[in-house]
Amino acid sequence: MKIAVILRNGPDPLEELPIIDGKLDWEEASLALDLFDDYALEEAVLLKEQTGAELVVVGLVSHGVRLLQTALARGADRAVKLDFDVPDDTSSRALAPVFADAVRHLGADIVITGVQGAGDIFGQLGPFLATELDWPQVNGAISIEAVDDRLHVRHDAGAGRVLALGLTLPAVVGVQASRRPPSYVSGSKLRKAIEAGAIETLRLTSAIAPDAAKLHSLQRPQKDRQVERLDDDPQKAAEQIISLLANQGIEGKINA
Amino acid sequence: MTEAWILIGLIALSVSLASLRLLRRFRPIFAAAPSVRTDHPRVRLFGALADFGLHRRLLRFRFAGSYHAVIVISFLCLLTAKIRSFVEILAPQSDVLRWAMPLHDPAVLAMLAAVSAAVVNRLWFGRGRYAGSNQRDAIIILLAITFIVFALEAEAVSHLVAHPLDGALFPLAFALSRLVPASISDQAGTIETTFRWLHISSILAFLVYIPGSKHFHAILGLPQLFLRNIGPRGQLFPGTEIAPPANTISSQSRKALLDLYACSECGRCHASCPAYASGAALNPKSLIMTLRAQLVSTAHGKIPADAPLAGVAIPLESLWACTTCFACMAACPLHIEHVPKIVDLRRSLVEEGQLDASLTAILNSARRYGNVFKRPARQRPKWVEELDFEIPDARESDVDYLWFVGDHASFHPVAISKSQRFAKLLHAANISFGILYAEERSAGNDIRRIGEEDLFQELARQNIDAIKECSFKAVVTMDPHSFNTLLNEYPAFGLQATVLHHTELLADLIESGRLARPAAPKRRVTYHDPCYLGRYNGRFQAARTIIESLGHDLVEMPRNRENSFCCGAGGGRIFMNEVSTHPRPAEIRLREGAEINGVEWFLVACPKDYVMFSDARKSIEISSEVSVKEIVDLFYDENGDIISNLIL
Amino acid sequence: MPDVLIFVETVSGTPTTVSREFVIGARQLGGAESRILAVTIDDGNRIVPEDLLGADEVIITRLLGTNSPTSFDRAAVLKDLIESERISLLLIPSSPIGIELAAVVAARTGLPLITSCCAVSLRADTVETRSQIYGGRAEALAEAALPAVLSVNSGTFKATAPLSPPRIIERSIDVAGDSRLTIDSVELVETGDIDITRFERLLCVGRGIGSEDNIEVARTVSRLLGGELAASRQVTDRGWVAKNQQIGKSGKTVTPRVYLGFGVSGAPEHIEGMRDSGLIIAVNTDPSAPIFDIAHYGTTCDAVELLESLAERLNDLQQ
Repeated sequence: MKIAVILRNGPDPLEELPIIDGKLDWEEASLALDLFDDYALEEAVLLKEQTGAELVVVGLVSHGVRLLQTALARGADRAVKLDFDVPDDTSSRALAPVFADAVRHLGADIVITGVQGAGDIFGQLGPFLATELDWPQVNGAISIEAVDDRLHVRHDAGAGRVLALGLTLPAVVGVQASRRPPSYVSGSKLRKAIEAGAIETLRLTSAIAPDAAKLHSLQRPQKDRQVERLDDDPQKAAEQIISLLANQGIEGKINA
Repeated sequence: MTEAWILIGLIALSVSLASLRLLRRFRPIFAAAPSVRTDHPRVRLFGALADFGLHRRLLRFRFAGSYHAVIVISFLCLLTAKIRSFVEILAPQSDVLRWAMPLHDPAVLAMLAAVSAAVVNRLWFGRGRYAGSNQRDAIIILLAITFIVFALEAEAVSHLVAHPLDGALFPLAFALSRLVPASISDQAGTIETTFRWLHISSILAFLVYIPGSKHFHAILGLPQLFLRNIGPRGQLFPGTEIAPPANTISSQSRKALLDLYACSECGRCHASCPAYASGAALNPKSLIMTLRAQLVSTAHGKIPADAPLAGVAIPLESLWACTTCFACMAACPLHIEHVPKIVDLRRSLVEEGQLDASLTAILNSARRYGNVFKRPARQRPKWVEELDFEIPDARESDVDYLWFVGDHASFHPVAISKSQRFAKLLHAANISFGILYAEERSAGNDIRRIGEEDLFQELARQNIDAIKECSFKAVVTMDPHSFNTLLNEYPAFGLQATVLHHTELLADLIESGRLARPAAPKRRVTYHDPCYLGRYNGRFQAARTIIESLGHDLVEMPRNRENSFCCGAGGGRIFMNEVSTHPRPAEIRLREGAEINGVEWFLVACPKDYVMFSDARKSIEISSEVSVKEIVDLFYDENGDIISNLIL
Repeated sequence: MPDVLIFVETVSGTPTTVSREFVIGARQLGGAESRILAVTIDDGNRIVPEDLLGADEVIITRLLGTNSPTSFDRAAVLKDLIESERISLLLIPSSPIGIELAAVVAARTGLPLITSCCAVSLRADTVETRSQIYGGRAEALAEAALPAVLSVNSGTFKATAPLSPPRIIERSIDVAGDSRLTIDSVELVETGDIDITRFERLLCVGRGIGSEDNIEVARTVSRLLGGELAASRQVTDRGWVAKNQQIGKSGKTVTPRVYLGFGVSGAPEHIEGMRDSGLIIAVNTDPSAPIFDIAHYGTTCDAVELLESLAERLNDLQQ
C-alpha cells in the first residue's frame, strides 16, 4: 500500500492578506500549510501507523521545501517536490491533471489531500483528481482506516449524520478533520529531518486543465470593524437582523 | 561465648540480606548517569545538617514536625541502649556507654508518646495527606518501633529485677521492676536475655525490611539532603546542553532515581499542590510513588529498563496538569525534585508530537512569531500606541532600565492596561527606560517548562542577542515568569545583567525618595505572592514595602510568602484546556483573600495573575467590595490619574 | 430565460431549511419566467408542495437498488438531468454533502464550477458571482459561462413576490452504481453530541441571557435560523447548556458564517473562539461590552425581548 499526500501552502490565516490591485501578492504573503492539508497529513500518518504503508508527501516546488521537511518530521517516508512551473494562484481544478500524473508516476494507490484549499473557488482537488485517475473518491472524510483491501472512510454529512463509506483501492480521499490534532514538530525533530532530508524532485511535462471559470479580482470583504448600530427596539432590530442574514444569500449584491 | 558467635552470625546474615536487597534495588541507580552533585561539599554538608537538625521543613506542619523530631531524638538516645544490648552479648560485662543510661527511660516514654501521636495524626488530623500512602508499610514500621521499644524496656526491667542497684539511672524501669511478682523474679536473668534477643532480632529483621520500605528515608535522608540542588530554584536545567528527554528508568540520572527511594510518603507535596486541590489529575506523591514502583520492578527485572514512562506508567493528564509552582518541592523535607521529572517527561511528549491542539498552536506561534499570542512580531509594541508619549527604543538609545515587557503584558487585552500604567508612572517620574519593541521575543520560561527545550534556547539566544545590543543599567520586568528565566537561566546562555522585578524598582524609587509617600486614602489590602517571584526567588519584601509606604493596611492571607497558593497559570497551563473540576486554583485563592474581613484590594504583581484572578472574580460570588488590582494601581487614584504629590 | 436546477437536500424526508431558502432565492434570481426545477435524490417521500414554494417542479427521485445514494449516484442523476432538461445553472447548497457533490458533478460534466458563492447575478450567457475565500478574509469576484454549477452559501428568508407551489413529479431511476464506492452505514449522532463547529449559523448565549428559562427560546431561534445553539463558559459552567456547545478558549473554536451573541460580554477567552466568524451580530445591554469591539453589528436591546421578536418574525416567514 502506498499513500501519496498532496500538500499545499496558502496565506497564513493569522496574517493580513496582501491584496494589491485586486490580486493576492504571493511574494508578500506569509505562507503556511493549508489547514485541511494539515489534517490530511495527520490522518495519513494514522493510516500509515495502522497499515505500515509507505507514505510519500508531494508538493509543488513553488511552495518551498519547509513544507516537505516538516512532513518528513511528522512521519512521512519520502518527500517529492514537483518541478512544475505554474502561477501561484492556479486552481486545484487546473492542477488536477498534473497531480494525477505525479500519482501515477509514484505508483500510489491511495491519495489523501485536504478537503479544500482556502483559496479554491473553482472546486476541490479530490473529486477532480479522482475523475482524472478514474478512481472512487470521498471528499470530507473525518477518519480513514484500512479494512482488508478496502478503505473505510467516515464522512460527516451534516445534520447529525455520519456516513460510513467503503472504497476499493485505488482511491482518493479529501480530509476534513483528523482523529487527533496535527502533531507538533519540535525544533530538534525538524532539524533532524532537515539534516537527514532527501527531498526528491520529480519533473513533469503535464499540462494544467484550462480554467473553466474566470477569476476577475479579489477584494476585502465590505465590512468595517467599526460596529454598526442596530435599532434598540426589539421588533425593529429583529427585522434588521433578518435582512442582514438575507444579504448573506444569493440575493446579495455582487459588488457590495 | 557461643551466644556471641550466634549474634555475629545473625548480624552477618541480616547485613548480607539487607545489602543484597539494597544492591538489587540500587542496580538501576548504579547503571544510571551520574549527577554532578558533589560540588561545594561544605555548603552541602552544613546545609544538610542544618536542615535536618532544625527540622525546618518538617516543622511547617507543627504537630507532625514536632513528634517526628521527638522520634529522631529518642531514636538516637535509644541507639545507645541498643548498642549496649548488642555489646552485652558480644562482650558481656563491658558496660559501655554508661553515660547514656539516664537517657533511656525518657527516650522510651518520648518514643511511645511520639508513636501514638503519629498514629493519631495518620488516622485523624493529617489523614488527607496520607491518602494513597502505603498503609501496611506504615503499620509495620510503627508496630516494629513499638515492639522494639517495648522489648528494650522489658529488658531493662528484667535487668533491674536482678540488679536493683542500677535502678537510679532508670527510674521508670525501676518502678516497673518493683511490680514484677516475686514468683518469676528468679527467672529475671532468663527473661532479660529473652527480651534482649527479641529486641536484637527485631532490629536485625527490621534492617532487612528497610530497603523495601519507606523507612529507607531514614538512611537516605542525609545523603539526599547532601545531594540536593543548591543552584537557584528557578534554574530548571543547568548549562546549555540539550540532553535527550528521559522517558525511561534507564535514562534517568542517579539523583533522580535516588529521589524515588528517599520518599517517605508524607504527602506534604500533594497537600500543597494547587492542581490537586482543584481536582486535576496530578498528585505529586503518587507521581513519585508510581515512578518508584516502576524503578523497583525494573530493578527486579520484571519490566525492561527502557519501558516508556510518559503516558504509560504516568498518565498524560497528570503530566500536563502541573503548573510548575514549586510548592511540592518547597514542602518536601527530603528535597525530592518533582518538577524536573515532570518537565523531563513532558519533553519526551513534545518530541513525540502528540500534544493538545492548544499547546501545538502556541508553540508553533512562538516559533513562527516569537510570541504565544499568534500575532505577527511587529504588533508587539502596539500597546504603546495609546500612550501620549514615546517610549525610547532601547536598541537605539542608552537607557537606565531596559524594560522586558513579556508576552502577556504586551498582548493580553486585560493585562495591557497595567503595562500602560507602569509606563506612564516611569515617564512621570522621569525614569530613563526603553523597550525592545518588535525585537523582544517570548522569554521562554513557560516554553521550557512545557518541555520544548530547543525552542526555549532559540528564543533565549535571540533575546540575548537583542539585549546585548543595548546599553542599560538593569533589566526590569513586570512579569515574574520572564523575571525568573532572565535572572536564573539566561546567564548560562550569555546574559550578564542585573535583573529586577518592577516591584523592586518601585520600592527602590520610594525608598530613595524619587517617589514620595503621599497621603492616599487608606485601604485594607492583601497581597498574593507570585510563584516565580516569591517561592522561586525569595522576593517577598518589595511589594510589601510599597504597600506599607503608601499607607495601606496589609492583611496577609493564611498562605503567604513561600506558602503562596498558585493561581494555576504556570507551566503552560494558561494555554491549555481547562482540566480542573471546580473550583479552579484562582477561584480557591481569590476566595481565600476575599475572606479577609473588610479587604478591598486583592493585589497581584504578575500579568498572568492579573488575568487569572480577574477572570475568577467574574465566576465566584464574593463581596462587591473586593477588586483585583496590580501593584502599579496603588500609584493611581480613582480617576485613573497618578496620585498627586507622588512625583517630587 | 435560464433553466435553473436546484439540488435539494433532505433530512428524514423533508427538505433542509437551507434548501427551502435556496428555492426562493433561485426564483428571485431567475425571475418569474425562469423554469426552476428542484430535485431530491434522497429519501424525499415526505415532501409536500408547500415545502418548496417558488419551484415549478420538484422531481423526487428514487434510486432503484440502493437506499443510500453515494455522491457518484447523485452526480449521475444530476448529470442526466442537466443534459435532458437543458439546464443552464445548477445550484447546490454549500453543505457537507453539497460541496462534495458540486465538485463531482463539475468533474463529470466538465462544466465550470464556482464555490462558496455569497452573491449571484445571472446574465444572458454567463453568471457572475462573489465568493468568500481565505476563510472569509477576502471575497473573489468571478464569472463563468453558462451552463455552470454553483455551490452557494445559505440563502434567503423572504420572498419579494408571491410564490406558488410546484408540481411534484416522482421518478424511479435505475442508476448504474459504482461498486468501488459504497455506503456501509449511516450513523445518527445523538443530539447530546452536537458539534457546533459544523454549523454555518450559531446563536450564542452568554451570562446576559439571565436564567435557564430563557435558553429554550434561544434554542428555538437558533434552529429557526437553520443553525444551532452555542454558549459561553459562564452559561455552560452553570449547566444551562451542554459543555460541548461551549465556544471559547476552554471550549470550541468556531468559524460560522453568522455568529449571533445574546448577552455575551466578549471576554478575550470567548473572543478567541469565534473571532473569525463571518458576520458577528452582538446583543448586549452594556454598550461598553468588549464584544462590540469585534462585532459587525450590535444593539443594546434586551436579549430575551429580541429573541422573542426574532422567534415571532421567523415563524411568520416560515408560514
